[in-house]
Amino acid sequence: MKSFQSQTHYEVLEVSVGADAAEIRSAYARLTRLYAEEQVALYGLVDPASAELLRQRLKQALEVLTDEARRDAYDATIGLPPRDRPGAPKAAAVPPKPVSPATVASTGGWTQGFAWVSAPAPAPSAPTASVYSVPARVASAPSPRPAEPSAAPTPVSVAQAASAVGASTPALSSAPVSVTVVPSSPDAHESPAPAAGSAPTVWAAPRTPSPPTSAPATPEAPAPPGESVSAPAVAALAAPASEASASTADVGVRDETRPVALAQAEAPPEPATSMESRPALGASGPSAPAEAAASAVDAKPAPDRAPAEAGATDPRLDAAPVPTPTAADAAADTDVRRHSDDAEVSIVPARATPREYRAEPRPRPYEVPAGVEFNGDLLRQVRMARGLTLLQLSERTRISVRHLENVEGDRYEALPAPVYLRGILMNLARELGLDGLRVSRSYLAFVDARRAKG
Amino acid sequence: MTQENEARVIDLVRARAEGPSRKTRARRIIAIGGGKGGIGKSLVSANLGIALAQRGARVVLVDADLGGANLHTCLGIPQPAVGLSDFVEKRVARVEELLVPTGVDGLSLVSGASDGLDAANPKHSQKVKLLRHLRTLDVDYVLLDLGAGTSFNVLDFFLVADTGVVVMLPEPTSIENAYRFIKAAFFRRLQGTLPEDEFAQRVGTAIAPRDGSPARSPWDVVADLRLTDPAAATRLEHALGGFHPWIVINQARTRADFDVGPTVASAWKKFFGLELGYLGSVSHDDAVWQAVRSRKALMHAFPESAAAGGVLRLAENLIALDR
Repeated sequence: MKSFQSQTHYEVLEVSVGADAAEIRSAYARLTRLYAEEQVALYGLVDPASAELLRQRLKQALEVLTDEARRDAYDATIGLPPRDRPGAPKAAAVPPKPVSPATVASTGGWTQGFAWVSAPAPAPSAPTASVYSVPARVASAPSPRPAEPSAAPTPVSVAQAASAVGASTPALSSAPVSVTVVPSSPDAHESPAPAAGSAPTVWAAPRTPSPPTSAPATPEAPAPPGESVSAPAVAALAAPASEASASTADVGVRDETRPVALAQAEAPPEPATSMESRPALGASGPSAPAEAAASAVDAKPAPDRAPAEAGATDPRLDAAPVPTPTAADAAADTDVRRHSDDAEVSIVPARATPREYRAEPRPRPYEVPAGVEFNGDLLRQVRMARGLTLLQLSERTRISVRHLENVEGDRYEALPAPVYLRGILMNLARELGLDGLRVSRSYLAFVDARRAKG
Repeated sequence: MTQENEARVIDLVRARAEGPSRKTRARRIIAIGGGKGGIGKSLVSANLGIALAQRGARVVLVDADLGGANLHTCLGIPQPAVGLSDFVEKRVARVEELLVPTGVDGLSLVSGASDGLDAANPKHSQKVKLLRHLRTLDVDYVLLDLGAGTSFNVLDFFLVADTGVVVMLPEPTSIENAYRFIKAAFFRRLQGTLPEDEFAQRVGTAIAPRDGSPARSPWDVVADLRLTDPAAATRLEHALGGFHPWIVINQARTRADFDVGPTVASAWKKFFGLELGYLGSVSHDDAVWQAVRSRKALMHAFPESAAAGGVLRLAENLIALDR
C-alpha cells in the first residue's frame, strides 16, 4: 500500500484505469470533500502542508485524467497500453517477438498485463464505455493450434475486410469503437507453436451509442458463459459475409466471449503467407478492423448486451473480515435524531435515506479476463497491486508466509498436496478479490503439468 | 526501574503466536486506549463488556488504567477488595484470584484501583507476567481499559492485545491525541519487533518530519531503504504489516461527527498507507451522564438510550471480527 505521493493518478483518485470522465469527476468531488481543509479528521494527522499537497495531487490527477490527450500521454509514462483510439501510434510499437506472460507482466507492471481499451467516442452522444482486454497469449490455450496462423490478421487483409464490409454499410462505420492490438506470445513452457504465437491479434470491441456495453465479459461476471457472449460474437453471426462465422469457428479461439476472431475471420484475401511478410506492424492500422467490427455489430444490434455489463461491474468479491456497520449506523443516525429531539437543540438534520458506512472501502476486484491462467507471478502482481505485503496477506488468510512465497514463486515441488493447496489457493484468491475456483483450477493445472513432466 | 528496563519492549511475537500446544487461552484480548483523558475509554470499556456478556460471551474487564482506575464505578459496583496491585505486589499468585463478579452474567472485573504508591508503575517483568497470565484466562474476551497518555505502560498493553481500539471524540484536541497515540504505538511496535534496526526512528522522521518537509509514508522509507539495504527493506516491509487498530468515535452529536470515523480511517490510509479500521460511533447522550451520576452502568440504567445502542453495535462489530 503506497502513500499518495507514490501513487498514480488513478490510485490517488481511487478509480480504476478504465474509469470514465464522470467517474473521475465524482471521485474527485468525494475526495476533496473528504480531505477538505476544514475537515477535523485531518487535524494532527499531518502538517497542513502535507494535506495541501494531497489536495494539489488530487487536482492534478483530475486535470490530467479528464483531458484525453494528457491522459493518453500519462498512460504511456506509467506503462499502460494506449487507450487505443483508432490509429493510436503506440499500437505499432508493440514488439512482435514472442514473450511469455510473465515477461509481459513484469516489464510493464501489473497494469500492462491487462490492457484497458476505450474508444474516443467520435459521436458526442455516445456514452463512453470501458473494456478490459487480455494480452492474447496470457490466455495460454493449453493445446497449440496449428490452424491459427491462417487466421492471423495482417494489415492488408484487415484493411480489405474493413473496406469490404464498410462499403456495404457505409453509414454505420462511424460508430464508436475501441480496438487494442496486443502481441500474442506463447506461454514459455507450454506452447510449442511459435508461428501461431507471434501473430498479432486484433480485437475489436464495438460499441453502440445506446446502452454502454462492455465487450469481453469479465471473469467475475456471474452470468453463465452462454449468456455473456458479448457483442462482437453476436455481430459475427450477423455479419454480411457468411463465411465469417464459419472461419470464426475455425479459428477456434476457445473463449466465446472473445471478440478476437471476428476481425480476423473477415479477411478473405491474403491468407497465410502475408503473415510472414509483415508480422507485427500489421497492428499499425487498428482503425480498419474497428470499422469492420462496428458495422457488423450495427447490422444487428444485440439488445441483451446490457446484462453482461451489469454483471461485470464490481461484484465485490473481496471477503476481508471487516465489520460492515451499514445498517447499524443508519440506526445510529435515527437514534441521534430521536435523542436530540428530546434535548433542547436539534442539530442533526433529518435525512431521507439511511446512510451507508463501510469500515473500509473495499477495493474493486480485478477484472482478470476469461482465459487468463493464474500462475504464481500473476498472483504476486495482484497482491502487489492490492498493496499487500506477504505478511499482511498471511495474517489475513492464515496461510503461512512460506506457503505464500512458494505459491508466488511457482515452486510447485515445495507446495503441499493438491488437496491442501486447493484450500490455500481458494483462500488466497478470495482475499485478493479473485474467483477462487478459477484461480485454483488454473494454478493446479500448472502444478499437474509440472508434476507430470517429472 | 531502570531506563533500559522500561525501554525494553515486550516480546510481541512470542506473546502472539503461542502455538497449538497452548492449554487455555483468551480468545481475543482487546485493548481500549486513546491518548487523551476523559474521552470515555472506561465508559466504553465497561459497557462494551456488558454488551458482549449479554451476547453470551465470557468477558473479563481489566482496569489497566493503573493509578486512575474507576471501571468499578462505571459498572456500578463498589471498589473491590482485590485488584491488580495485589498481583503486582505478589500478594496474590494468580490472576484468576483477582476476578470479582460484576452482577452481570459472564462478566468479571479485575480492578486496578489501589491507593498504594507503586502500583501505578509496575516493573517490566511484572507487566510481562501480568499479560502472560491474562492470556491464559479461559474466557472469550479480555478487555483492557487503558489509561490516558502514551507512556510505555499504556502502549505495551495496547500492542500486546489482539485488537487495539482507539477511542476519540470528534473534536480537534482528541483527534490530535488519538493520532499521536496511534503513531506512538506504531513506533513502539516497530521498535519492539526489530530492535536492532533503527526503523522506528526512520519511520518516525518520515511520518512526522520536524523540518517542515512534507510527511512521507513508511512505504517510502521501505523504497528508500531498498536502494541501500534490500534486506533491511524487506524486514521493515514485514514489520509494517499487522498493525491494524480500530477507532471508535464517542460523543458524536452531528451527522458530520458520525462521518469523522470513516474519514480518519481513510485519511490514515491515504497518507501513510497503513491499515486503520472503523468500529463504530457512540452518540453523545445525557443518559451517560445520568448513569454515571447514579453510579449505574449505562447498559443497565438506560438500555434504550442512543449511546447504549451505539455500544451494542460496537459489540456486534467486535464479534463480527471473529467470524
